[in-house]
Amino acid sequence: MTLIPGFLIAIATFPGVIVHEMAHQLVCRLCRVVVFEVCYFRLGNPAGYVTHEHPSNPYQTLLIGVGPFLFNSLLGAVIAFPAVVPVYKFEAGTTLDYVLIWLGVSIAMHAFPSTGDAASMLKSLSAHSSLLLRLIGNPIVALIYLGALGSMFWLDAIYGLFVAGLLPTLLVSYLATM
Amino acid sequence: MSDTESCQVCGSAPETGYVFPLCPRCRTILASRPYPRWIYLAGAAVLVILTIALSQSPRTLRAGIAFERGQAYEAKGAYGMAVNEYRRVTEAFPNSTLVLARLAITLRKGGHVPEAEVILQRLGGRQASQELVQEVNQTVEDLSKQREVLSQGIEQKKVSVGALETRLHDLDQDLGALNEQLRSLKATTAEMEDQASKGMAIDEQEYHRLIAQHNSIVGRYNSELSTRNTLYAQYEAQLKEVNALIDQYNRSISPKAGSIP
Repeated sequence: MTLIPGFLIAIATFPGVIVHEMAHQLVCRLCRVVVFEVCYFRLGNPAGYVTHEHPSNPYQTLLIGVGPFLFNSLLGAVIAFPAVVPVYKFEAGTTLDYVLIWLGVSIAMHAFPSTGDAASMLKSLSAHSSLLLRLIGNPIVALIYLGALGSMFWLDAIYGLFVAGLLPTLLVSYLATM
Repeated sequence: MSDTESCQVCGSAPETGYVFPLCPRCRTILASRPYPRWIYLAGAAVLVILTIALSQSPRTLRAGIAFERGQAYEAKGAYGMAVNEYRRVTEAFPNSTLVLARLAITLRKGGHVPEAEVILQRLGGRQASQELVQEVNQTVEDLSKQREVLSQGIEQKKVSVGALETRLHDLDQDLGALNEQLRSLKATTAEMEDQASKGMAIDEQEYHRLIAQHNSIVGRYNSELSTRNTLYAQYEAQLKEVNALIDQYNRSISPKAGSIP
């Protein structure tokens, strides 16, 4: 296991951090949850944060928490898609293609919600007694903590490479069979 | 949340359903915190890059699909179809080592040796995965062995043709000698017939002996002529085979210009 300081990884993949916080902010906007402060990127831990009002609706808390997962994954895949075939398949990528791959992987690897997001969700879930909510929410919280642990073993990077690299390749393979 | 609280910004009635008391208007403003200008600029830059890249997407996507199909055809043994698909890929990526290697290997499997040779020459010295390098090197080796086998085949045929040429030459000489004997015998018997027709006495026994000898030689002549004709047909057939092998060998070492990119 290779240990690289987190801030170095954050610097190398800063677009992902920025998009992650933007996604939180966007979902807050959609849920009409007040945003007090946004730090898109900094040299610290966490590398970025969004300070917002605590939603009274636990579903909003869940949405705000998992927003980056959906947004970062989708955006990372879309951005990297045009470059995947030239770079991964034919090793004939231009500079532009490699920039897109870096952007796509950086964004996708910061899709995982943070433990801070998980803590917020857990607090919101414990305040409510809806069984359905707990059935949906608690596994998501558990996955987030597992993801955070897995990030020590490059799970976030693997996910980023999968979303930005392997997924489009699989799509091309599928289209070839049609 | 307290229903009696007023909006923390303007003092008007707060919107319900939220922890922080704000009226709908103030909530909308505070929830819609604007993104900084540099975010918009960065987003615009990414959008421009993405637009340029997406404009290339149809071409690269078609190439990716063509490559997958090429590999599928190659695995099934449909080398002609595989070559067509790989050629489509080279239109988009004319310098990709992987694509050129697969095209060369498939051309060789399909029997298009000269075209395969052209591409293999381009691949010399390039870096690739170990598996691909082994496959390409094996193809080069196979082509080399194929040329060697052709060369040996040509030599063997040449020896066979040479032997037939010698035999034909000997037969021609024999036929020539027999023809001479026949001419001499014919002249002698004609002279004797002429003498007999003039009433002169001839040696009947000698005359009949000469006629019998003539007929025997004619029989031998016809037999050797038949053998010669048969051998000549074999000679022509083997000569054609040798020339075909030589053509094949020459094509494998000097392909036509402009066949493959």
